[in-house]
Amino acid sequence: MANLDVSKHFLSFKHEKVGKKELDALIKKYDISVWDLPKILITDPAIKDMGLKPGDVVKIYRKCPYRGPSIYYRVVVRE
Amino acid sequence: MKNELREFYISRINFGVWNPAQIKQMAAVKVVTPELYDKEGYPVDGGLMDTRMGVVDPGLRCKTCGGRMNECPGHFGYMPLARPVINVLFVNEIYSLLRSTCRNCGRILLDNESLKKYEAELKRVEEEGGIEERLATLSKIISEIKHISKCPHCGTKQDKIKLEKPYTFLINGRRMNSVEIRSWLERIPDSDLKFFGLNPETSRPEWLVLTIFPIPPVTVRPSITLENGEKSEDDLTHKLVDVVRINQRLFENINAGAPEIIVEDLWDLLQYHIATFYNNNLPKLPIARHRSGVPLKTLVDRISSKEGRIRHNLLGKRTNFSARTVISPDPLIEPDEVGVPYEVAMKLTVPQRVTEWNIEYLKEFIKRGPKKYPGANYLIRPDGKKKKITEETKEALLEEIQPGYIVERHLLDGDVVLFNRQPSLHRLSMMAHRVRVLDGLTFRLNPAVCRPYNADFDGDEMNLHVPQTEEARLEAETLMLIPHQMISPRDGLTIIGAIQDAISGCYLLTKRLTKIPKKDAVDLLVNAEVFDIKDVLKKEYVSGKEVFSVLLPKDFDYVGKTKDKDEPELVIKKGKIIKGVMDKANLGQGAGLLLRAFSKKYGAEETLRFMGRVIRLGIAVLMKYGFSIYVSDTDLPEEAKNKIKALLEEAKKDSEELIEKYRKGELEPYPGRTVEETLELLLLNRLNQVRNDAEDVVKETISLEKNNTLLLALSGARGSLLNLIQISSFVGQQALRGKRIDRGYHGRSLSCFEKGDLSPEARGFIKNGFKQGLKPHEFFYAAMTGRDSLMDTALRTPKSGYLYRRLSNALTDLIVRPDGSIRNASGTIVQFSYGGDGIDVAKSFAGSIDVDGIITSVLEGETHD
Repeated sequence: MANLDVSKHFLSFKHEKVGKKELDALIKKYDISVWDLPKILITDPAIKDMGLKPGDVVKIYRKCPYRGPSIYYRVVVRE
Repeated sequence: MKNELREFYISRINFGVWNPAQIKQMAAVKVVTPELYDKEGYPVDGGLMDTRMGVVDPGLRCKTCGGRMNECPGHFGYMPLARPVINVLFVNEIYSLLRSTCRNCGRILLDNESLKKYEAELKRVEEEGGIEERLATLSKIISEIKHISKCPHCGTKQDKIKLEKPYTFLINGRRMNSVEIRSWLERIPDSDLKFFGLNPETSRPEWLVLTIFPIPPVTVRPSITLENGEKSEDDLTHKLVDVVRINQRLFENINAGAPEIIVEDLWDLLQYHIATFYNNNLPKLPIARHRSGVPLKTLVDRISSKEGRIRHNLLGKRTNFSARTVISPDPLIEPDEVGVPYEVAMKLTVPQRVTEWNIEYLKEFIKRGPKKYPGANYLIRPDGKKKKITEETKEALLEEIQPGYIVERHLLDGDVVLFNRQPSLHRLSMMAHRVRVLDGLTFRLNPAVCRPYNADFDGDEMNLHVPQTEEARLEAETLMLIPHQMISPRDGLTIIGAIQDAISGCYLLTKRLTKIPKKDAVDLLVNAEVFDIKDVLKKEYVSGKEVFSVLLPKDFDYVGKTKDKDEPELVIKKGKIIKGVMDKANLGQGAGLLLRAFSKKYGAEETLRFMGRVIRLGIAVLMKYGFSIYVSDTDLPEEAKNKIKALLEEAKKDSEELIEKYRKGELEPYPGRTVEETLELLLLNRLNQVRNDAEDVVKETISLEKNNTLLLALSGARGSLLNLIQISSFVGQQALRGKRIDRGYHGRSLSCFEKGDLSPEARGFIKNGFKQGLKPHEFFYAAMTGRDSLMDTALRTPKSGYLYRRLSNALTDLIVRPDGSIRNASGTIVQFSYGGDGIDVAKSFAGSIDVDGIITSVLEGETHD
């Protein structure tokens, strides 16, 4: 129990680092700075082993039984 | 006034602190005396009511700008203070600065290296989290700096500074005076101020200690002339008199070389008066009062709290052109209309611009005047002058009127108004209706729209607002009119639909009335305001279904479900009911699937008209054929009585068996439950099941043909089978907090049972019906659950109301941007597409988009909304 890796649990969504190209496209599409994206703590169990740094953006593949799959982005913050 | 319009945009706002030079420069007067008026009653020059600071008397002119009352905006005055005084509103800022700078050289108590480090961190934090984050981090840093005891720049040992609320600073326990504090603040170099977030250009810290006192214009503290000619001054003026008087005294004493103690005392008093001038609710400071003992309302009081400028005047604005009265029902007006009394219609007006084409039409309104409906109350000239229309002025105004004038005419049928019932919890709480001016003194609304307003007619009052501009009217018409609100944004179903008598009437018509004489059918349809009735004229007798079909468009096809067990399917082909009945499942609120399909095909407007006709037809049926319910409706046939008796016996036997099993220790507990809990669960389930079984018995044995109470329940108009059973046969198991009743005495619910008795009777089962009457212990069970649910609602309503308010306030400024993202007011993204799937529920079919249906209908060349 103590060493449970939450990110491997079937209920946690797939998190993925967003590449430079995709990030630029995202920033341009919404006309924002990365800090205007929703946030995720760098210590969040779902991403803590991905080797990210503040300012990186993660892409989350969400699944929902009612409204189907959707994609969400979050910017990594320190606190 | 020139009619020149110029447009300006505010590009930025800079907040800062006034400096003494600015105060002096903008001031129109130097105030030198606490006097207000001379013997003749004229304002004294250099006094606090000096006419150079503006005028509030109708006769006088401002000596600075020459404007009269309401023209002159008012001008500040100033007064040099004999000794500097701290501005209480900034004590915390001063405290921070004193603690984190050197008392000798004024530098920040950080060596250059760590200063750079902290600056970098502040910059990073601001970039990531904005200015709020920066301020939070800064105060954290300041609380660290205060522990540094030696200045890294000049090596001076730092003393401990303490703030004794509200405005006394102690250094090593000795009191610092304002001159000392000011000169310390002066020493802080500009370069260090940036670190604290201060801009030295606009906010030098020494300006937080006042040397020149700004005196607000007379216009912000107008005096009131009482009826006896006496003048009553504003609270601020009273306070200013104190300030000026003490300042003068202080000057005199200093010049006369008075002892230091006296000067100090007066200085303290001046500080007190200036502090309470800004804020009269400072902790540990006596509140400044009138002679009568009423606390003075000074600057902070004017802004803060519920009666302050913000919550009272800015957030709590009141409106003209609105009315409020009791509401009552009127099913004969359309659902998107509102009945307005003549009294109201003649007070509320709509401004209508006079043109060449409507001048004669509008003249008629003026001719009728304000007392005869439909007339007009005011005439507005192109220059904005408002003229009241009276019997005397009428003729002159009729002569004068020409294109360009505006007539404020009475409310007419068809005007669009906003109708609202508090609490305004969702957007449907305020909808646009069309006016229907009626006799009587109440607002009338169609019962079909009660649901979105959550209104009933037990004394509810509602508000009505009349939009005054073309833009407002257009917005109301295109966004808020009932047809646009008919489909709920919650579940995509119609929230407006037939209720009660309208449903039972239609049910009666389509189910029981199979042979209606032609004459009656025509009567019914004409009552419902349907005149295209040739379909029912062909035969001598028609069925109720045929009568209802007259309301349906000729090209309407629909297949759906009904609540009826004999005809569970509703089939409509080419505007004719082939089989099925009209009930709540088709016409009701929040269900109305027939209505939903109808509005998809014909649009909201047409659906609303259809609904109006359905409601009137249903009511016409009830009025023509009569409809009563009887106590005898709840008399069950012998057969049913026996069956239900058997059901109760069986349930009792089963419960006894379960209890027996438990006593022997043979009962298997559910996972995660004790044996006792398992037993209780099983018993509660078994006993609740009896009600469901009894419902089936009633449905089977009672004939719908003769039983009107059952008809009400089955059509969904009102009441349920459960109500019927509780009256006719037994009330059933009472439950408290999801358990059978087990409280009251130790181990038993009432003293008439033995301890540990688990039988149904001892634990809240009521086997008598309301009509037979309850046994005393049964009555007590019913009273227990009744009281519990009463308390529950009484306590829950305000709590959930407050939760909802906070939720909706937190979400109010979320918007959908054209790029599909949901943003808050500061532009940060909350969701990337609305609700994760980007569906507007109000435009969906029950929450999803019927792609197949759209493809089919496009291929078939049909139109849809």
